[in-house]
Amino acid sequence: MKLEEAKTLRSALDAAIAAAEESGQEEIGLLDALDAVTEQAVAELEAAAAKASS
Amino acid sequence: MKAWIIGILAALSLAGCLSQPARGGGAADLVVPTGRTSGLGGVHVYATLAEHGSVEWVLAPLYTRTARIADTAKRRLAKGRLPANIAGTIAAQTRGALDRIREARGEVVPDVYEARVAQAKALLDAADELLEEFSK
Repeated sequence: MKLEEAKTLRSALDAAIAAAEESGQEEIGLLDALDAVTEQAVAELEAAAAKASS
Repeated sequence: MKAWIIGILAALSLAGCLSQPARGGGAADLVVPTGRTSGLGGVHVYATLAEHGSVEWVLAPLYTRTARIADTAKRRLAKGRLPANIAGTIAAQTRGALDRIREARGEVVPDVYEARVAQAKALLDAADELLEEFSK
């Protein structure tokens, strides 16, 4: 795993832990957190690429 | 004799013995039918997705890889080190990979799950190749 990917994983895990603690859940939705992080990254690239092409 | 075996298997199945997943963490709790039957009264043969690798530990790196590629492409585009059309291509590839990952998450048939994972990896390989090509 590349360093940037590990950082993404860490931040998603941190977010998932925080959300679980806040809601009192016993389980962590790691994939849900990663999905949100990845959706944001892809959406930002799509917007930047569309803007650069226009 | 065959009726005996079917009866025993049916009893075990009702007791949950045949559908208990192997323990070992990760996605071992997921139990899915393989679509095959044992030939003994049509008893389903079950497999866990964990047999094909833990779902979280297969999909988590795919998510992080997708995010890393999208983020790298965005930064290079901003610095003028990546043409807009190439960034657009990488955007489409990462979007496609994300869609395949999401489909894999909801998939219960192992063969289809593995196909979605392979498609996501292929899209990310292609995106990584483009990033590599335009980093020179």
